[in-house]
Amino acid sequence: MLKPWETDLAVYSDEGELLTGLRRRDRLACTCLLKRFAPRLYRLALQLTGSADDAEDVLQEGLIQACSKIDTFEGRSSLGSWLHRIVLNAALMRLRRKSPPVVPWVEEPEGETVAPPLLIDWTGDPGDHVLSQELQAVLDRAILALPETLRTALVLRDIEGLSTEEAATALRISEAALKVRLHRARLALRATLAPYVTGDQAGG
Amino acid sequence: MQTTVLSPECEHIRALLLRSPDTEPDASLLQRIAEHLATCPHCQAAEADVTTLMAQYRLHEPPLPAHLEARLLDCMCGGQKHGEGQ
Ligand SMILES: [Zn+2]
Repeated sequence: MLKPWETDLAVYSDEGELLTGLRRRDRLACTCLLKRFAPRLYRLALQLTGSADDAEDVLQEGLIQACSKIDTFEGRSSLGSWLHRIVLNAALMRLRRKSPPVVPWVEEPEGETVAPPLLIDWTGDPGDHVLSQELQAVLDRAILALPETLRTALVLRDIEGLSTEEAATALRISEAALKVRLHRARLALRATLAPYVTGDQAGG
Repeated sequence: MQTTVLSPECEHIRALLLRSPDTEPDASLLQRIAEHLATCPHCQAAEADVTTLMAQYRLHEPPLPAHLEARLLDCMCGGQKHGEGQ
């Protein structure tokens, strides 16, 4: 028997052919779908749930659901977008089941807040930096280390490219709350990444 | 490396934002912070640095763990062997 990685995935390079194969539950078509879409779907599930175990369960749940609905998939969006939506919804459902309630904000008396660190200008344009494997790994860890409320806002807006309105709707919060969560997430990432981007280990 | 000195309002907002990150401000404070973020050049610049980096980061896709690919394949095909169903 051929191993999945020994199969010729070019057989299903056309999306229509791939759909036909998936509807027959053809193993090669399923392998092709996994090779093409699963890495991105896994990253989405991992970064939303913050747990490798949960991400695996979410991806399995999403793909089983997709297989059961593949006969009714009408192709109004691309197969990739359709799968993305299914896995996104599965991840959000899992988060809602598991999430602790948001901790209420207690107003501190004026003058008792800790002074924020000064903003350090990143040298040059961060877009000039080639994203090295090291920086990717730092980002992977920094994103997973964010509190869930901040991480989900960041993932939906900055990685998955949803609009503010779409991300706020997905998380069932107001747009103002989404913007504030997103800003807090970006500030936290900025502080973590400063030593790598500026080359100054002292950081921000 | 240069540092940026923030306005008192910006410093106050940033101090609020850096408080315990799993707490959430109430609706009126959220509105005040959101309005500041929409108009403050320092806060916008701080965000722009990160969004530029994230635009590169989103292009990178980690490989699927090998054990997970095998598990998913079995779930999707229901144990069907290669070549069946063609
Ligand atoms: Zn500001």
